Amino acid sequence: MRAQLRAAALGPLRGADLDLEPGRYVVLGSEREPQILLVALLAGAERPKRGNALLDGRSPAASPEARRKVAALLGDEALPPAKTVQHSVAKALAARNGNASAAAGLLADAGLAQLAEVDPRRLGPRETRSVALALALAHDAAELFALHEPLTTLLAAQFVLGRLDHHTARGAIVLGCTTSPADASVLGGQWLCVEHGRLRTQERTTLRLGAGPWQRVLVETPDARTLSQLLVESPHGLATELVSPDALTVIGPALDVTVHELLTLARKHELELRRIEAAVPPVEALLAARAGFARAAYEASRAAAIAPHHPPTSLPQGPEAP
Amino acid sequence: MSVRAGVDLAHERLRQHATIVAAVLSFAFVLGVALLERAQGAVGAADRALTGGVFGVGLPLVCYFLVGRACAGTSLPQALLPLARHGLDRGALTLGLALPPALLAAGFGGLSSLLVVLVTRGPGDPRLLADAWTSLTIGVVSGPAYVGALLGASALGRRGQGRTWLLAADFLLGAGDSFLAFPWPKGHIRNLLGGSAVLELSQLGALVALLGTSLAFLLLGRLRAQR
Repeated sequence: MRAQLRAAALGPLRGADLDLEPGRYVVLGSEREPQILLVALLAGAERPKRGNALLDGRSPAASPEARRKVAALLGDEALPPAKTVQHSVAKALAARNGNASAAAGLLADAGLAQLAEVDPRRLGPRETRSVALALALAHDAAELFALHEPLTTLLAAQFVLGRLDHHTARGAIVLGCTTSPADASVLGGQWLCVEHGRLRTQERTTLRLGAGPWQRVLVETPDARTLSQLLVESPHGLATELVSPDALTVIGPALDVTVHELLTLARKHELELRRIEAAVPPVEALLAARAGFARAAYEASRAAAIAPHHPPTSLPQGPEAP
Repeated sequence: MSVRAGVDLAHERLRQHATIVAAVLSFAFVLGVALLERAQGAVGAADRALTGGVFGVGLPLVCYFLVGRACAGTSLPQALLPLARHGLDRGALTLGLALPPALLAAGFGGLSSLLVVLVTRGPGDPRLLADAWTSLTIGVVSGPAYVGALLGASALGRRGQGRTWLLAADFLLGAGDSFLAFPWPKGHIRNLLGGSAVLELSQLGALVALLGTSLAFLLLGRLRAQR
């Protein structure tokens, strides 16, 4: 199976170029990014306004055969209408030529047995997504798993990850989309970043230096060169710049992921870390500094107005540019 | 398999209390119109009630409601998604989805026109049987025709607004008899009932045009849902 998006655009998704072969991938982006549409395009739920979405050369929106090979968790899920959730799951299984009588077992395996006799219309969005995820994870004939926020349902994370490992091991493409760097780290696989509605599969070396929510971290350690080599081999696509024999800059997606990887490697290889510091101050800190500067300027001008015969108080200096 | 699944999809969505409530209200409306028209005068009461109450207002609104329910209030592609995403053919699902509302609309069209003729003509009228049979036939044909057109139009718009546009066009443009009235069911049904003809078509021509345009809408919607 090969999943491709060629300049695919739909609404806020301004352009997606992906070429995925069997393996594990995770798409990370902020909540404003159209990751829901990315999953909908791959699942054939939507067709691109421009460009193409192809699974083995066929459009999933137009080809029932292509859709049969996709297991998806959409952003907004709807189960087939039926009297009970179990009947609904049975209909979905029958539609994919599966064994409809396995519905009860499927729900029980996923820890959703309590929902089996519930009217699907009475389920909340999270419960509906949980049932849809259970259905997707049980699709052993699927060759592409496109899952939007798979770790935010009622299903246990260990169950979800176990099933994803199973499908990855049997040669499927497993693509998870999330806004949480922590979830992305847990989901594992190659990281792809969607930013300003654009997504590209890039070579690993390019990915490290490309656009994305990248953050710089300054690290002091007695053996910066060894740590740098270890970080470069990290699966998270971290890049390093050696500042001195005992200091380096690490560039990675999201601070928590980079620091977590640093600590893990240091512990594993018994390296001493003397200092870890974010090279770019957080936006909140910059805003606070600006607010303080504005307040000080106001106080100075007010003091000058009250005492006009005295020379004006000098204005304080602004925050340093990052 | 896909057609059957489509039938089941529509059946489950229409199997609601709201459908029964809508049917009762619609029959009550049609009966009310028939009684009012009869009270105004027995001459021409059946024609006025059929062209106005039943086929002019009641049937289009009932069909709009049925198609809206079958589509779960959304567009045709989205309505098919719960099953189509698992690999069923959208074209076959569309045809299956059309069947239950078409049957219900045929039932409503036939029964309501029969009811109106019975109420407005009275049991002693010598033209009762002939009129009842003709009205029943037109009702049975017109209901599915409206459903086909509205379901096809549901493929337009992100939330299936196409069916609302079609209903509006049917009310506004279908009231005339120029070429602007040709694509919409209302003008052809009026012709079948003995009213003014669209483009001076014969009644057989109106029947063919009614079924043809509805089928065309349905197939266009099917094509759009399949892409």
